[in-house]
Amino acid sequence: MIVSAFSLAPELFARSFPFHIIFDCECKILQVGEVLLRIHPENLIGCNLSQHFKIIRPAIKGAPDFAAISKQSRLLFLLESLHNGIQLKGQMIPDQEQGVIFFLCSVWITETNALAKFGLKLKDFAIHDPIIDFLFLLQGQNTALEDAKKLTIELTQKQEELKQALTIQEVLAQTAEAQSQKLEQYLLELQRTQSQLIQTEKMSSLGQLVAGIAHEINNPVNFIQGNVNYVEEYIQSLLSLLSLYQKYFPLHAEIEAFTEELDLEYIIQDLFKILSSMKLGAIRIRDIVLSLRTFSRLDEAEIKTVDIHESIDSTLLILSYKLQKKINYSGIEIIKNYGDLPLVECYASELNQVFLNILTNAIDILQNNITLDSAKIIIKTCLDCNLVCVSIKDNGIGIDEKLLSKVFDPFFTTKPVGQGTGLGLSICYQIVVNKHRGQLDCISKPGQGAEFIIKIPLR
Amino acid sequence: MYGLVNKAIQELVCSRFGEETWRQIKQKAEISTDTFLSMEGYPDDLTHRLVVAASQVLGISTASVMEAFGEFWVSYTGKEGYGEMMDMGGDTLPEFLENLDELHARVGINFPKLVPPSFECHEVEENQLELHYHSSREGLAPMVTGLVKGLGQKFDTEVKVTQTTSREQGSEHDTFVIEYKPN
Repeated sequence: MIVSAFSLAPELFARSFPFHIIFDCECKILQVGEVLLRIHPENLIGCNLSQHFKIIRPAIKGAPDFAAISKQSRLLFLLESLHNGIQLKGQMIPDQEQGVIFFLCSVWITETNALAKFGLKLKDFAIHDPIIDFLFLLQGQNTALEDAKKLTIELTQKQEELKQALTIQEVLAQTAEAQSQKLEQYLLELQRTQSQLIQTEKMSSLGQLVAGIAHEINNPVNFIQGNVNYVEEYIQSLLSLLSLYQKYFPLHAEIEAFTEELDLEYIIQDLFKILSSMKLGAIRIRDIVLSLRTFSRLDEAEIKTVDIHESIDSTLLILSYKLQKKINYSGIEIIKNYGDLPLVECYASELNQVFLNILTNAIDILQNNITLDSAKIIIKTCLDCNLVCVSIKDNGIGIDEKLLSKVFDPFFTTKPVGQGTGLGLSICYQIVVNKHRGQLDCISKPGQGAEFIIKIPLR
Repeated sequence: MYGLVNKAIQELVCSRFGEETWRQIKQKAEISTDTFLSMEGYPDDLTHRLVVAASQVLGISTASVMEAFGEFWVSYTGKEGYGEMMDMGGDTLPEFLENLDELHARVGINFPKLVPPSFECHEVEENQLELHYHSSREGLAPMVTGLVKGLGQKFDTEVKVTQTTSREQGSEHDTFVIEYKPN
């Protein structure tokens, strides 16, 4: 063990350990450092150590006396004032020779605000005392922690702001999407309304025209049909009269010559054929007029109980000029496969439009496809549960799959500019689906024709 | 320079001129950092740019900015949790200035990256001190003037600071004569 040849003079010792305590074997305090003396509220000199201080560590069994403290002198001691709670941390150095213990210590502070509480200044600490450095480090740590706390709060706020911004963005996107959908819907409705207006106007004009013609023709036809029987009867009477004349009066040579020239026998035979033909013609004209009136339905209430087959037939009659054979055109064969249908309550005039539009489209397709040998349209009807089904199928070129979804869109047409409005099928869709709560489907593949299926619910 | 200095500049500008001015200064100084960390070391250039930008935006000299900052620094550090440490420095202006070097020395020892300045202070005659300021950084002398004025306010003491030698004018360090009169 190195024995120092020097020791601190009492004054220098006191300056080096401003918080020290020296007590004797009775634990009576003999000397206290200057600063401790100043900051401790009670006078310490001459008092027993345990009167003013509690030994926090090490744990000493029983009352802390000189021997017990000396025995633990290799351990760190922490004393706490019983009056102001100030803690002293240091080392107990027993001096057996002098019969005293030196407690070389410093104030133990773990919070910087304790400095003000005890009235401590920088100059109160010995320069070698590391407690000052500890306080600086503690302050540094506190500041860093404070920064971290502030940053965490800022970060949390920013996260919240971001979350809110995202929510707002989402709401805005949804609103924009909803607005866009609404706009799209409005546009579609506008297109539908426009197309309906155009078509209604067109069909209304056509209906009025058809109804007008039907009415105008109806009267003269009635004259013909009503009088043709009288004509036949009168001719019969005149021929009987002629026969009587021939029987009771000798024939004059000139009359005989004229009779021969006329070929009276032939005239008599042919006259009845002509009359019969005229009768048939008048009946046919009457049928056409009836069909025209059925088609226009202008003289009928909006909802009407009708025979669907009659409606289809009247439409076919309207279109018959397009179906007949012509030069360089072999005509279109109509195959009817009608099932048993009850009378249907519907908007008859409008349903006729549907048949007219679909049949016109089919005819146009078939007419334009001149390479086709046997153009035909198959019309099938049946009752499926509560639905009246009408299928109109052509054997034309069919519809491309990409275009299939668009056929009911307003203004969609595959016809050349000026030949189609693109409204026909859109109107059909409106009438069948919206007005009748029915279904309108199109089944088609390129090269396999197109089939339109109309389903109208029975009311 | 440690972050606490940059934070103090920010606080000085925001409290006296508002957030918008601070935003302009930051933009002019080309600084994108939102929050400075007190105990983090930042390049000296960043603080320098802040001072120059503040001078341009506020229309005052950089020396005035530095002096205002020095004055503000005393109250700012007291507010930012260093109050007890400042109080430990002394109860009067001369006592505090005497301990100033010790405070900075402790900072320098415990946080070696921070490179604090050093001070030397002695009484020339009654109510007159001579303060010697040594720093590895240049151009911060006006801040010391402000700092002493701020301490004068802290200790309720009238002060008159005169710089007697200057590094800018070729001296080895900056020297200030402080005449003081406790109220």
